[in-house]
Amino acid sequence: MAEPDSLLSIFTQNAQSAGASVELIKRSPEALSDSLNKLTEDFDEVIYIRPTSLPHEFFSDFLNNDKVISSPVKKQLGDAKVAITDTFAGIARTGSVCLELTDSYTNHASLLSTWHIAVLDAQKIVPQPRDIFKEGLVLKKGNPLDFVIITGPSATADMGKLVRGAHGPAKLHIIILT
Amino acid sequence: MDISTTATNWKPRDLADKSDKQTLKKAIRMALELENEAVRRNTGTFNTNRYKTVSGISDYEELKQRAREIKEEAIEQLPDLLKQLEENIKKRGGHFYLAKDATDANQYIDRICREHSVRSVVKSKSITSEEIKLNHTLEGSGIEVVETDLAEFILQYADEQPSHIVAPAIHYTRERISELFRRVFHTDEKLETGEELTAFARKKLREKFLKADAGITGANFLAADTGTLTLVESEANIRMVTTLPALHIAVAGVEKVIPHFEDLAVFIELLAASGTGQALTSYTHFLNPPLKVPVIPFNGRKNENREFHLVLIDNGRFNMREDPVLKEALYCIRCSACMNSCANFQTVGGHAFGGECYTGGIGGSWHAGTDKLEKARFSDLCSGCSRCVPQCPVKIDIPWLNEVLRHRLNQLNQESGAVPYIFKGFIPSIPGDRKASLQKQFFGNYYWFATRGSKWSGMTNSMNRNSLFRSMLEKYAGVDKRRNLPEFTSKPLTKYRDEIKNFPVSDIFNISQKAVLFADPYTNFGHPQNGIAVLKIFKKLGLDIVLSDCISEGRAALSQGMIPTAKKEANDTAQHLKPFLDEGRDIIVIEPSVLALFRSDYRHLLDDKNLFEGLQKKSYEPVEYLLKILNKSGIDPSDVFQISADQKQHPVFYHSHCQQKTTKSDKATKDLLVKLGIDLRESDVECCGMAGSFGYKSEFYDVSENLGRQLVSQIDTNMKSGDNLTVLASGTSCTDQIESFSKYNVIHPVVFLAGFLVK
Repeated sequence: MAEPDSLLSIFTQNAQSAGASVELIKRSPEALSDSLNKLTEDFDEVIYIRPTSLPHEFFSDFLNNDKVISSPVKKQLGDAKVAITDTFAGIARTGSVCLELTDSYTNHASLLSTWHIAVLDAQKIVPQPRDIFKEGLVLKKGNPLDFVIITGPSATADMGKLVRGAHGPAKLHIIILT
Repeated sequence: MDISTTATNWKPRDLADKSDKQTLKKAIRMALELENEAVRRNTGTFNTNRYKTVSGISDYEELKQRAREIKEEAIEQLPDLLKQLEENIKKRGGHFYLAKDATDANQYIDRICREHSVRSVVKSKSITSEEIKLNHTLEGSGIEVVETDLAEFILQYADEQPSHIVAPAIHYTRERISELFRRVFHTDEKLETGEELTAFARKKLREKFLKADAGITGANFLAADTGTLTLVESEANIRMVTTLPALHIAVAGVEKVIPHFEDLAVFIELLAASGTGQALTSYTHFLNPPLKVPVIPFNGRKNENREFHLVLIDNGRFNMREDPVLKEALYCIRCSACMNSCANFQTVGGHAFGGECYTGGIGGSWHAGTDKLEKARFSDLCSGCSRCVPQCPVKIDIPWLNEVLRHRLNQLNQESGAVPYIFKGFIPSIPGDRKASLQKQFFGNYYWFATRGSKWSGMTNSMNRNSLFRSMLEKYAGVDKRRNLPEFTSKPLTKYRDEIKNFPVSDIFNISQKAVLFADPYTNFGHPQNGIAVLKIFKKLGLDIVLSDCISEGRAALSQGMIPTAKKEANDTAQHLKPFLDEGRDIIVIEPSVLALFRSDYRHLLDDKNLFEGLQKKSYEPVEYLLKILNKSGIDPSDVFQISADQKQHPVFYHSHCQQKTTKSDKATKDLLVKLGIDLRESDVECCGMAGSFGYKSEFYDVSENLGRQLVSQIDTNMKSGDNLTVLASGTSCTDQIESFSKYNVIHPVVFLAGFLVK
């Protein structure tokens, strides 16, 4: 098993190769808020979905912000430019993040927006895809989770070359809380 | 359609059903003229990426073995797993339907759509839905069907069938997509770059996603114990299709079921790596529908609840399960590695090497299993080169499947007339193969022709250059006139026994190993100098080495689907070699396609399984054997081969044989040459395109030439002006192929090495 630090660097390298951008920040509400403010400064509306894996309090600083829409309506989701969700695991070898499809708007926000900002806890990075199937992460008491492993932004190679930004987000930004 | 019209006017759909040979020929011509450029580039990218990505999976071989075991278990327990899956889907409130055939599946889906007053369906890529022609049914009910995978979107507007199971529009260049969009959408928008084309399609399809009433997907895997549906994609269209409309219908073949949720871990890693060559594609979904994800009424419908239907299709699959050979195709996870690694597929793509929906080496078995045998005719494009075999994540011996299909197709042959009748009267095919076409009998009986050709070599070699004879040979046996036939030697290897006795033995090395050189017919009658070089080298090293008789070993018959003949020849060969094995001799085989028989194909042909294991373990490619015994004896190769300073100044180009790559017996040649200080250059083509008889056949000559010229251009690139370039090849076919399209004189590595053998 690789050391946590090296997992983090393998993750970062592979996520970048898959076309995502990666930012490592301190594990604090202030650092997260600073980072999110900076990232979204050019946007009037930011869709925010309440986390399922990270503590909600991590986002409390950022939520004191007028442009944050935490209960989006149909139109806001359909026209979303940027959306923030948390993710419950990361995979080092592939640079992927794992998103649970919950009964909130996690799916819609992370899918319909042009830019998906995914927040990941560095402690939740596993070495290989197969590792998320261990230790009751996605199968709890025989009940499987609805989830999607996201590796880079949506992309296509059907138009004569690799194009990032097919039907889903054109940009994926991963913030890792270290 | 008239063969004289230009291929530009031919529609891929009109050439999709290749039950007759004429259509196959036309499709090849069309593909070479219109689709070659895009197919070569795109399959090449997938192929390169796959090699790179699988090398990053530390336990790749174990993972493939595990995948194979899971699929075997799944197909074995299929009826029970389907029951379990049904229970789990229903327990969650989903619906399960097992359709016996295409009509049954279409009627069910059509009914569900009509009950929900569906006006518009968004659909993600599903080759299975192409198999049952689902769109046709739904459109017949007045439902708009929107293909949302960008490749399928292109094909829907172009009205073409997929040319590749993973990238269905792999045959389209950017320029052709641009031309198509401008034409069908009557737009003046600047649609030139990949970004512009994608943005245009994205905008069109985003509207469709939001207003759709139902989403239809396929399924990559279904875990029976949890009822989980796994889908793999990159564009996010599957995310839209599965979560925006309230109604989700998934259509898949019954073979997509695997026993356990945890098994998915094995397959998701293998599928992405083997397919597009990515560690994972952008989105890998694990869904247990109906989902809890809220429904947003973008389509204007209020208060809709999510509903899920899983429609599994038999359509011949349960019969395939009972067929010892077609059963193998049910293990297929549709990754496309067999296509991307196939030299012939890289040249023509799935519009020639494919049928109405399934493509490539595995495609013939799918069409034979879900439709009818004649539809598998295109599988003749499989030359048996075997490059797909090590790439298959579930270890399917695809060439064997195609050889069996060929055998079955041979039985349908209706060829009549005086020439075939007379000809078949004197060639020695055994009864089970007598229905095969004249062409197949001609190539399948290489040994018979070679023995006679060698006996009267003066006459046969001059006849081979006679244009009238060649015209007749083309007309009756389908041997292309443009191809030079190999010349037969008047003195085959086995006639050198007396000279061999006097080859010098050096007492310096004194290696006490016992071996036999198998006098394979291709070396024996075509290239005896290779055998002589092998014997000279090993005698010099002090080995107790003898030469076997020359007997027909089965490769030629096997490649023509003449399986009963191949079986007989294989058993005869094994019996001839058995006493040598019993004496403790290792077997040296020069022709790589024959070595591949001993190491692999004989598992299907020999009655005596122990004998197969003996042959498999004890047979070696000559340089492989050489390096092994040198290493074992601690002898420095440069003490045996004294490469001149002049030679070390010049590059040497080496093309290893396709089956040699598969049996991994090419590495030794490269290692040894490099150890000896040779400036080694290599090709990266999977196969030279000759592949035994393939390059001689009139219907495939153009494909073979295309590949041959590609290989030659790689050699040329390494040839700086004034270079004294030596070209080496280990296979008879490769040697002939390179010489056909260049001025290079190609020799076997053993001949090259023997030239530097210590005095």
